[in-house]
Parts: sequence; structure tokens; C-alpha cells
Amino acid sequence: MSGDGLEPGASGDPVELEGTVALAPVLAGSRSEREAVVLRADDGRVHRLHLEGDQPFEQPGLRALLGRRVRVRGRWRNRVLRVSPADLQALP
Amino acid sequence: MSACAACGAAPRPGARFCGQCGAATAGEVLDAPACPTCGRVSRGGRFCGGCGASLDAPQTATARPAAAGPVLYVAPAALRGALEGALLTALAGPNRGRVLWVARDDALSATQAALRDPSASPDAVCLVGDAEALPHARLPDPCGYDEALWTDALYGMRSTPTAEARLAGDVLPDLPVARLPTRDPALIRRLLRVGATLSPGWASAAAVSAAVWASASSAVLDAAGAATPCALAPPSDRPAVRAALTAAPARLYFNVHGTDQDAVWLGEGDGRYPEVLRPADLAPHAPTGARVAPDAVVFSEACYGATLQDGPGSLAHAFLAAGASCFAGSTVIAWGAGPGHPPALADELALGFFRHLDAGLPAARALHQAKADLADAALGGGGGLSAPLHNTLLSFALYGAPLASVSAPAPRTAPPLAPLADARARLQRRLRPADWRLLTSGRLDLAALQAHLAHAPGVSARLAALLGAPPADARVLRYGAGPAARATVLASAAGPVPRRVALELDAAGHLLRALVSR
Repeated sequence: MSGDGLEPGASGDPVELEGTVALAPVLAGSRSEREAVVLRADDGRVHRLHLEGDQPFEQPGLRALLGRRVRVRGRWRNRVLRVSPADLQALP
Repeated sequence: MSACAACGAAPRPGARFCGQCGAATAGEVLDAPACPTCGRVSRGGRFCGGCGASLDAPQTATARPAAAGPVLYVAPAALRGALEGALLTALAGPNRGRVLWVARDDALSATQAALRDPSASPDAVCLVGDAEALPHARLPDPCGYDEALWTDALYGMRSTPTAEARLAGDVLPDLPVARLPTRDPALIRRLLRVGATLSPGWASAAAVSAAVWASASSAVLDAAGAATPCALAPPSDRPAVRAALTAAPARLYFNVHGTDQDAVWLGEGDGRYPEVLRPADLAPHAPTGARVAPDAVVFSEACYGATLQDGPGSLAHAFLAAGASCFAGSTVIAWGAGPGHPPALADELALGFFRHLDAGLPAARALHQAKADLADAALGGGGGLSAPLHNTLLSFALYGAPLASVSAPAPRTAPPLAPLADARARLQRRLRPADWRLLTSGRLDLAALQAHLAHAPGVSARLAALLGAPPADARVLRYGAGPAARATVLASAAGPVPRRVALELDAAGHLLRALVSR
């Protein structure tokens, strides 16, 4: 369990999930505490998201998908689910 | 009381390290001295950990400490063919030492075994190689945010302390540790040629801070005696910072955001996080014209500022490749003062590092001593380390030659920490004693526990049962959010054998587990 209360996998592990893009507070109490984009997966777990090439704090690419259902395929990196733009698919 | 084996200076009573050159005093336990300015008892160093006053008579620029002793270089055996030539030719210079070639997966245990050899007595350890060739040591992160707490500090210890021992304060290595974070023989050769040539003082400097941390950054710069204007981001952004770097500063201070997902540093203010620096900005011959002086020293408070996970694409590597001689930063999340707060943790570490460096300590020893000052201040109250302080002491790494030092140590004419001490005193006057205690030590009276925990009476009773006596105070650390939130209550009881207890509670305040010191 991470300090965020999120439930990530180990760095380097591949992952494929479907869920809804949302905002959640992360890194509470640290200087980097902020609202960040997360994936609320269909299994109920919540994961921090990073879109490769996106500005990592303001996350304009991911914020454009807030509220949308998506399918993502990527790898964990330090408790964050990293996906490339090609592996992030908005669902109807 | 014998003279320092490295430089011959008379040891300060109680010092763990020579006040002149920083060499270890081989565990000699002596009487502790008091600061002539504030009266605080010091465990060593040339400056008081309480008020920053010099413990020496003012030095002149000619009063250089003698060269420190040899370095134990730890290098990956898998790269011996590529690195041996560079290392052996460079080690005849100012960073002399011997090389221990180690297998990647056995590097830590082999290094600690070498340090336990009584016939070897290095003054510093220097790792050679990137994190893939020679990994950081991996520890659990007590803050719970990073997958692991990556540290080079364990390479300077003769054995790895337990998690409990670390949180009780056993986090400083026996020897200062540095790293040459590259497998590029040319860069290794250049870094190892750096001796007493680092730029002293702030005459040629650049400072960049997130706007929300402006007060802490200004306090650090003021206390360091830097007249350098601090670029605040926002409004400053990458073009503005690049423009500041066209002057090729020789001392750089960054108090900004970093991330584990990309090699970029960022500011913060007005709800924005503007980018302030990427490795491409520092690329040699980049059209931006941004550059650093060849004797440059860089300290970054950014989270992941010293991460090597991006290899040559990391910002730390970019600074060294651009010509800087020395880089200090954190491998994981860095902890410092929040918006509007006085300097804390990483801020204090930056200040201590620059102070000790300017006083003439070698770079690795300067960072080591700055950590010792922080640990001393925290442990002086009899408690352990908070998880953020624990991580600060372990995660900050020094990249560059271990014995590099400034070319002209500055004479000390005034207590360098006076502005910080004043800021702390003003804040203390504004707060109730209980609030000040909570802010500075994280401890709260048991009477105040009710406001912090759902089942405070039960927690108090359990603490008393485990300790054998009611504790006078406790410390509450919170992690996580929502239903997964956790709180750890730490308490201790004095006695012939001091005992410490930690209770882990869930979001509803129910006890998950109890830990007792051995």
C-alpha cells in the first residue's frame, strides 16, 4: 500500500486496465501534494496516471479526458501507471 | 586526546569529526564543548548547530585544511575494462585512493565488508557508475510514497542498521559517500581532477525557486550570505531560467519541483506549475546558450533531483556533462518547508552544505556534516527521527569528486545562521508552546491527543501498558487518505533502558499493530 492509499504494481510490470479518468489528491503532506489525474479502475482500485510527453504536474493531456472511460496499457514506474498516447484509448 | 590523523589539528572535545578537515575521530569520546554564542553543546563541526556561530577563530584564506586521506572507490567489475584506465590515471590526482571492483548484485555487502577491514582506513567512499551498473541501496520508504528509498549512504556504513535503528537516528554513514554517476571514462577523468578548485561563495550564482517557496528560499540565500537574486517560478519559466544560465554561473541553487516520471523541474504558484529546466537546456553547444562554469556546484531540493533512473537523460547527469563539478540532490521525494514556512529539512540541508563547503570541507564531507547537523538538532530532544527527516538524511546524494573543495574558504565574520535563528524565534513567539513543540518536533502532549485520534484514551492506555509507564508525549504521523489512511503514534519512556513504542492505527483509529523497541 502506498502512502496515497493507492494500490500500484511494481516498477516495470506491465498492466492493462479499463476505468474512468478522475482527479484525486496525491502525496498528501509532502511539498508535492496536489490533485492529480488518476484512473478509477473497474475493479475499484485507484492508480496515478502519467501520459508520456504530458507535462507531469499540470497534465493537460490527461485532464482533457476527465470523466471519460478509457482503456490503458502501460507499465508501472514508482507506483504510477505510465502510458504512451498510443496506448491510451478513450471508450464510448 | 590525540591530534587528527588526517590533518594534525587538535580535536574539539566531543567531536566525531575533525573540525578542520572533517576526518572521523575514530570514535573517540571526549567532553562536549558549548557554543560561545548560544551555549549549545555541540557534537562537532566548525559551526554551532544551534545558532550557526563559528566555533573557531576566524580563518584566513590561507588557512587551508590539509588534504584528506585516501578514498575507497567502488566500481562495477563488469565495467572494469572500460573504466580501469580512467580511474587509475585519475587517482594520482587530488582524489587519490584505491579501487574495489565489485559485482553489481554484491556491491553493498562487498563494500561494507571492505569497510570492516581494520587494516583499511579510507576517509570517504566514492561509487563509480550509473545506477544500472552500481545500484543505489534500496530501503523501505517509511513515508510510504516511493516504491523504495534509494540511498548511497549505506555504502559508507560498515553494516546496514535496522529500520528501527534508522528511525532512532542511526542513518549517517561512518564515512561520507560520493558518486561519479556515469560510465563515461572522459567524464570520470574530468571529475576526479577536481580538487580545491570549486567556486567559493556566491559572486557568480543563480537561484531558482518555486514562487510558493519564496520565503524559505530567500531565508536560505540570506543565511548563506548570497546576494543572488532568486528567480521565482512563476513568473519565471524555462526561457527565463535559460537566460539566467547564459552567464555560466558557478553556484546554482534550485528549490523547485521534480518528478519521477520525466526529467524536468517545475515551479509552482497561482495554481500553475511552469517548467523551469530540462536536460536539453544544458546540452553542450545548445542554441539556448545556457551553461554552467567548469567549477560549478549545484544543489537541488527538487523531488527526484538526483534520480538516475533516466540515465544520461537525467538532470543531475546533464549538469555534470555540461561541466559542473559537483551536484547534490535527492533520489526520491524531497521534504522541505511548505508555502510561507521557514526553512526546514532540504532547505536546511542546502544551507548547511554551502556553509560547510565554503568553510573548506571537501564536498562529500560538507554534505555529510550538514546531515549530521540536522540529525543532531533532531536527536538533541531525545526522540527519534521523523520519517521525512529520515528520508532527507538518506536520500540526498553527492555526485562528483569526494575531495573536491572550494578554492578559497571564506573567513567567518558573523554567525551565518542568524537570519534563520531570528525567523525561528519570531515564529516561536507567535505560537503557543504546545503548537511550537508540535511544529518543531512533531510531538504533542497526551492531553492533546484527543483532538488527533478517534480512540485516544485506548491508545494512551496501550502506550502506557507497552512502555510500563505513561509517556509524557507522543508523535502522530499520518499517511494515506480516505479509508486507506494510516496513523502511527510514536511514544517513548525514559529509564535505565529507554523504550520506544509505535502503534499503527487504521482510518477509524483501530489498532493494526504495535511495535516495541528491542
